[in-house]
Amino acid sequence: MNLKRSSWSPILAELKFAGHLLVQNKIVLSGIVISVGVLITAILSPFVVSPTIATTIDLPDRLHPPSATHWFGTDDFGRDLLGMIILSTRLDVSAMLEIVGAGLLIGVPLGAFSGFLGGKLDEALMRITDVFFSIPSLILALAVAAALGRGLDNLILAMIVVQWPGYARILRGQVLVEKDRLYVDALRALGIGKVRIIMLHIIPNTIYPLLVQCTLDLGGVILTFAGLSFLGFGASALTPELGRLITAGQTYIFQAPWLTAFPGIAILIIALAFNLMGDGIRDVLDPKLRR
Amino acid sequence: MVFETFLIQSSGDSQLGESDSLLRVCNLKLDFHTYAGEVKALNGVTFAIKRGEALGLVGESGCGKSVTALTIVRLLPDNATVTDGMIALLGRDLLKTPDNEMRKIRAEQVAMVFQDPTTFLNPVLTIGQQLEEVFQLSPERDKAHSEVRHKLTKTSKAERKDLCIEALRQVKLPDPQRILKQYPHELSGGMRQRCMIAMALARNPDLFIADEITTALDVTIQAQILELLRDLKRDFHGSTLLITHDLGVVAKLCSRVAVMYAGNVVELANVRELFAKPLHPYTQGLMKAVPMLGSVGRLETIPGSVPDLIRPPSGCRFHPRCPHALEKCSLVKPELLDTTEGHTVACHLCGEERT
Amino acid sequence: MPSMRRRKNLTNIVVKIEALRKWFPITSVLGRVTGSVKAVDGVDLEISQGETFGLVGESGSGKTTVGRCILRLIEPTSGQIIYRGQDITKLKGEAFSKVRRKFGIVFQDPYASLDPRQTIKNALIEPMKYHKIIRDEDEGEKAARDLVRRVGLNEDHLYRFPHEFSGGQRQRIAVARALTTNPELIIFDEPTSFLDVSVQAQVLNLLSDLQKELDLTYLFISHNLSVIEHVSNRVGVMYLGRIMEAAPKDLVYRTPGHPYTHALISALPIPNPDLARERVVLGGDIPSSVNIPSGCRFRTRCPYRKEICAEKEPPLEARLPGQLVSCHFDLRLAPPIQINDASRKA
Repeated sequence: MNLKRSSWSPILAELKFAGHLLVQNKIVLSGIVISVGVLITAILSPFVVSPTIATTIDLPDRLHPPSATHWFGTDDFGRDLLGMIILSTRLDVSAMLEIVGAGLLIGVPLGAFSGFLGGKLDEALMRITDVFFSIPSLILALAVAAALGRGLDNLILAMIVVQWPGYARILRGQVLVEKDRLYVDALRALGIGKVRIIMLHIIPNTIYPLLVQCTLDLGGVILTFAGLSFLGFGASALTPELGRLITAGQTYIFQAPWLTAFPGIAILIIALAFNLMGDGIRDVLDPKLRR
Repeated sequence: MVFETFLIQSSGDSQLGESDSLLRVCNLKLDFHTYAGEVKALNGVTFAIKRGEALGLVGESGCGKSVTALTIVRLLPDNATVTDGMIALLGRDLLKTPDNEMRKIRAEQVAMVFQDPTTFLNPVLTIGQQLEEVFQLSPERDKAHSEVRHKLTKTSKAERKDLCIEALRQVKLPDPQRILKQYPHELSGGMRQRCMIAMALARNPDLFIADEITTALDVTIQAQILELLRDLKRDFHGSTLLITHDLGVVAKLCSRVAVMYAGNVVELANVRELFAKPLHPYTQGLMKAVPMLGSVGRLETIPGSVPDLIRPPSGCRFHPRCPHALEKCSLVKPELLDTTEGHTVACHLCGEERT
Repeated sequence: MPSMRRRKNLTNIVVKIEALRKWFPITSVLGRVTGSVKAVDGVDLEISQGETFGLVGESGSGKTTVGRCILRLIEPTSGQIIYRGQDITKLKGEAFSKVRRKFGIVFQDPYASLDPRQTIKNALIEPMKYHKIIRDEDEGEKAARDLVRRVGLNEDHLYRFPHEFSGGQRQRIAVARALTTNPELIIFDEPTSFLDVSVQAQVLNLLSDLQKELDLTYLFISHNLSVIEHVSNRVGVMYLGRIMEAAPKDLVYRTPGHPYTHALISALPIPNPDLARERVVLGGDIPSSVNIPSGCRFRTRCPYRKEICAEKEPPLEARLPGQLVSCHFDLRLAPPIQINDASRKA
């Protein structure tokens, strides 16, 4: 089986194949498109909308319904709602990525070393994650956030605390299987140290399913984050954040329904888009559906 | 129409006449559709099996021997397409047979045993239960006419049990009563393989296909199974297609041998002739490459490796590795032609010396 | 780069194993130990400088486990592994890492023994970098190129991934990798079982060439008697965790001392239909390693068994010069195997 093609990293080959399959499902495709759109919005938002509108109070303009000048209307402080929503995506999306990213950074090494080395370290990790699992994640996040006090960073921290145990366990499961593979024996036979084996071989080979899980999590995380912000944790009143916008809009829900509707729909679309994308990726990378 | 071309092309069996052969495979071509491309797995496979004879189908991995067997019983995966050729079992084209009749043929006329008995025995049923299924309808032989005529009658449970015990005795399994109640995982590899053979031969099929049935077994167990097969040959009047990569197995059990390479039959001869005077360069190379007891020094190797069947070599598929390749060999695929009585080769070199 | 070493003292014993045992405990659902799989149950053997020791046996014989124990990929339950006079059974850390370099191993499954996400170049450089055999990337690349050429592959193969290679090529890569640490002894665990016959021939020739070039010592583990006969100087026959016979190749194959060896050799199907040979076909199945028969473990299938065989386990003793046999009786008194000279191809 000597393929004449030039050297293809197996990762690239898999991605190419996955790509082919992904674009075939229209719903998933729309999820991907919207997700990418959201990411671009988040990145470009400070250039499109001036951040100062968040703190500019323009009372005469307050609570205007959607119109030609303000497509989504204005809020309690006279701020253009569309502009606020665009600014918010930046905060929400970056929070989402930070939470999942940090969860990975903590969970992956812990899960990998625990799974590979076994013994007391493994027992300890299992018990600790068991504790985390025994409490529903939303309530746990609430409790930690409350304990840490108000503030955006504290909310993110609380959610990271809730996020990492799942990742550690998933990776540990993968590592338990991977460590019995023949190439690991070969590396050990060559005298190569365990740490090196774990970092450079085990983790790259096992992280795939976890990354898939992460894309699935993105939607849920942003939903939870907005939800907790809505409840009063996290960002302060004036910070452009989707949950906060809804909180602010609550009071005027009958007079100015657009204040809750648009941020709500925005959260819905963002969460749904990332969810669909994650779903599609998971389906495509399921080995049973291949070939 | 297809028969005529067959007679002209691969005349190796024309001496036999059609009434002698149980199975004829003519110019069988088959492709697999994969993401990487079309795998041209079979490139015109031709051979015939006479009644009562044991034909060995030999080749290395990827040569298409298992695929050929699966095509005969029509148990191919969805992405396989037969693009040409004919398979005639007692005159009937199996490729054109509808599915429900094919099922009947698989039940009564053709039996197949595979390499790994673990995956082909149902783990949640006892051996007795699985063997019983085979006997749900029992055939009756009309021995006086030396022809097999199936008269299907429903058997009673007691009759079936007796038939099962008898079947297990035939494959020399000790204590058949106990084995009937056991599950596959409670038996050893060799015993499972015997059960599979019992199930296959229970209905006295016309054709018994054995696909690498001893490859997964230990040497001493393999010896037992080979002895068993040799003994069973006496009582089994059907034909056997024995697929293997092991030349030793073929030498022991077969009367004729077909050598396959990259989707073609390259040589077909009776077993003595093949070992004494292999004609095709691939067969010659293969025999020199096998370490045999008593052989010394370096093994002669065939340079290169088995070709990629998505982009197979032109002309004769063996030509890139052949030490005697002519220019013709890369252009024209050699036909399967007679050289001497019963010895057939697909090689341009041998064609020149044709008698 | 592994330099050509000339060893003067050819009678050096590279590796010696004494009373090696590896028992795998079986635990019930509740965690109690209910028995053991006695994979290796008392093995003694010696491998001398420059020779190929062929270890042969069927499933359950423990031959693979012996190989892994030498490398301490599996920790022995008891017994000793001695490398050049030094007991390495319990060595740890830095000292053990040094010793490990002297051994290399090539595994059975060429499709699983390489990290699928690593290029060949990195796979070869990694052990050299780790053991500080090379100083930088450039030296490593040069060394890798040398190695790859030595095993019969091209330099541009370095930049490819394992899945782009055939089984035979992957085994060559595995051999190259084993050579990166300048080993003295290479353990081959069924290296050609997954390969086609023609590819096997290429790989066996390569191994033979390398052994001569680099003055290597081999432990060759296989269930294939023809291959073992072809490659070995001395042969050890294992059954259910113990050595039944250990002797120079010719003795083992012409005048075996143990009934099991005799049966194994006669069980081989010969690719020659004209050859009639006296055949010993053993009855029964290989017993499980959990319930090893008392006394001589081979007695349940032995055509010559007597009462003493159930009572006492025969020790591994010398018979003919260089031949060790574990049997209460002398097989020389039984008829010899006939191998017709017509089967030999010089």
